Amino acid sequence: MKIVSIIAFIMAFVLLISGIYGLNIGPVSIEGRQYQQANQIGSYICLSCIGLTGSTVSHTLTDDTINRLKKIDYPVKVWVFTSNDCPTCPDAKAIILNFTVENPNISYEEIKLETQGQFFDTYAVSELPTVIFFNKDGVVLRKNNFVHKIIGIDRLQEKIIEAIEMVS
Amino acid sequence: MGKIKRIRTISQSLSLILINIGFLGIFFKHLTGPVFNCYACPWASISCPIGLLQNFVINGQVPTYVLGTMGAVFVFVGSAFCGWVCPFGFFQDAIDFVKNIFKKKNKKPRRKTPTKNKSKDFSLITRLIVLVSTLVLAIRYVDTIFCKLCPIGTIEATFPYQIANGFSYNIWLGARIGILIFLIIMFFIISRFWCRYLCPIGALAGPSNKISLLKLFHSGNNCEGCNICKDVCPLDIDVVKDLNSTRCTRCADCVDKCPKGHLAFGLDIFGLVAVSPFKKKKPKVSEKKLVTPSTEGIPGKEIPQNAETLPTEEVDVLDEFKYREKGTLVERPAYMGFKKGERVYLPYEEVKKIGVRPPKTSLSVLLKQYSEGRLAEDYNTPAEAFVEEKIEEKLKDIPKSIPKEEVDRRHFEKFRVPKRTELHLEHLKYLKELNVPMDIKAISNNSNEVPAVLLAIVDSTDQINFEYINARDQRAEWYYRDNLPSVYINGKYYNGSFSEDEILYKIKTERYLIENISLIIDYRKCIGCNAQSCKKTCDVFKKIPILDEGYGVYPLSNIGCSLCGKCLIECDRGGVSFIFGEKLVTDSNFSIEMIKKNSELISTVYPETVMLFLEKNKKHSNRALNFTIALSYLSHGKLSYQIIDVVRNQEAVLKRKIGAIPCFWISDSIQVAGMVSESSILAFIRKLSKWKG
Repeated sequence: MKIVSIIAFIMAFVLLISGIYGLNIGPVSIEGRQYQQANQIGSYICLSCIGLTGSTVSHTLTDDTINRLKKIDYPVKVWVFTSNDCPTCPDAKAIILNFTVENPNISYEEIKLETQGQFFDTYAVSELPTVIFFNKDGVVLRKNNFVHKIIGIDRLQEKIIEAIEMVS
Repeated sequence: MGKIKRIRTISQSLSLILINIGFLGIFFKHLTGPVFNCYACPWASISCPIGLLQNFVINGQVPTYVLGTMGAVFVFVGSAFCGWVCPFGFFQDAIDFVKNIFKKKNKKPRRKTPTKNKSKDFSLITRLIVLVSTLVLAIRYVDTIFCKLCPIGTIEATFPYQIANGFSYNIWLGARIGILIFLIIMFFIISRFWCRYLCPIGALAGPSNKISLLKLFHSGNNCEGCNICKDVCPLDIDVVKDLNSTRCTRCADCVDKCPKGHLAFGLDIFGLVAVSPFKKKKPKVSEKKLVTPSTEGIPGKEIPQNAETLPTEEVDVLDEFKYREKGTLVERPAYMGFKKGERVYLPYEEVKKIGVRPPKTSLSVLLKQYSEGRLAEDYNTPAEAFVEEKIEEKLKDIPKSIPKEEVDRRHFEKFRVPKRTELHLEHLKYLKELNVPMDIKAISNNSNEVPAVLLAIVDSTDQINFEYINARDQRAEWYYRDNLPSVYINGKYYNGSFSEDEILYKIKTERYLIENISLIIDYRKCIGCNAQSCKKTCDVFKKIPILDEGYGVYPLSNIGCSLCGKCLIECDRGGVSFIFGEKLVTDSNFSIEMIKKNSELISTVYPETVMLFLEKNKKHSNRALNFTIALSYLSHGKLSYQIIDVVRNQEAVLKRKIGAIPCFWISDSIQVAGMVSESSILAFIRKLSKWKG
């Protein structure tokens, strides 16, 4: 038992140090050290990965949404926060694309975690996908003094059209 | 709540706040640790190791960082984080706390049944299966499947998310809430169910207990096997046998509750140095102490006392016992309708006035005298003369001078049984002299069926506590009812004919039993006993003090016990036993576990009378006696017994050709002679019962 515990000690610390100093043993090597990656996984939660939101949603807009959308006559800018490994982010993107097709006043921009991580910190975004809105002056939409964020893809259409109506 | 448990609760709640300190805007999600806390919680400040493991595996990497962090903790403290830090463990402890509140209300004793064999312990295997299947599913479906079903995620992430963003249903939500509800139900049934069978972190933490620096130590020298550690343990570990179990969460409840301080945590540095940071209590030196109520004050049978074994300090304790609650309680015999007879108290002050009383007068006689208004001076007169007097007084009342019809009428008013016979004068004399309380119970369909002889016997003495039970009554269920009317004398089925001589003979044998057998209580086994089943089953135990160490020896005639044997069965710890003779002969290996297990089989025994050939003050004789008492009770009194002292009745021994002692004798073909073991007893029972197998 003595020898086993000594081996376990050595093993544990070899693993820990190799994890901290970025010795990637796996078949795929990724840039950055494992603890930084852990930070990324832990901080920016993919909601559908955790099972908090559904994983499928229809992209086509309903008649009600289209009617309300047609009434909008002021410019609205939409930001979508996404990442590469988030399975529902493409769905969110596709729905917002449909919005822009119906009404040219609405424009959208995609913020990727891998390339534009600094924006995640400025708007305190920790869930994926998240949608936020700006008016023509570039002022972010707030609700009760907090940045109005739409998290996840459950009932995304309705939430977005409500938020767009609030922007004015 | 003990001291260590309080510290642990504080530690758990502090770490719950520290792990979820994100509400202050502090996040250190670079860190992870072997604690089960969902990182999707809006306030969570560290990452979940299982979530990270799955993500790294999906990305195609060996999760060296996560495994290294967990391993570094495990090699130092083993699974201590499970008991002291983990929020989900805290949740389970909270449920246990609620459960215990309900249990205390119901006052159910918490004794665990003996645990199963070690080979049946699947707990580590199931945990490993959960861990491996988590990783395999993550690789196969490129998704964190475990996280979608995780119970702590439901508590910490789903509920906040659903409240903040409005309710939305998907199939995973239904599944995970179902799992959470199932688990909460299981937590109420089995404490720490998650830690025991499912936790994937525990799959790594469990084996690390065997190699970690932090270990549980046990000083085995003075352990008396009270098994409190086993009862207290939320994971049902047999602590003393398996100190560093793979299930252990290092919660230290056992260290907290050990009455003698034999358990302690310490650092075992590769088996070279052992340091114990906990202070051990000084183990008390246990001596053999003899506690007997027959010292000065209350007279009774004098027990020879060894100066070495009996310390003088015990007098105070005895005083407390003898004169508890104003005085000593004496129950007068009860008849039908009066379940508990008149009660007579002898106040403490009066006892002091009386001073030393003559020996060899039993307590009951003395107290009867007192209750009948005798002065203290009279106690110095010899008891025998007094008894004679009383008999003559009473004899005047009973026969012939009163017309028979009148007697019948009185009797009918008393018993509602219209018959009466007259006893032989010698028998009547014997019954008047009888100074041992007896219990007689008659079970029949009709009160007319109760044998008249029995009623006459009951009528002629105050010491017999008679009760008539209707066979259709609920109370009669316990008794043997195949041959009605059936009669129980001191809880033993009487299967002779209802002739005057035979019943008297039976009463004589019972009296012999009560006068020669003493009750022993091994007080070391009473330490930490919460069940106190002895006090619940029998009123006799309410009069006896329960101490911390030593032995209590109580002659049955002094404490008014009728030797039904219920206490012997009900005491789970084996603290109660009986001895034949005067000396304290202890028997450490004695246990009736096997007999208790087979109680259903024993209850099928045919009514029989066993003759027990015993020798006084011998270990094996006492063992045989205890087995018999247990068998007699478990067979619902069908197995009655009588003791034959071998030294005095050598004729009876020679007549039956008995070669070895102790001996159970029913007939020449059915007997067990020599040393008694549990298996030989069961073989003996097999011959007597319907049980074949």
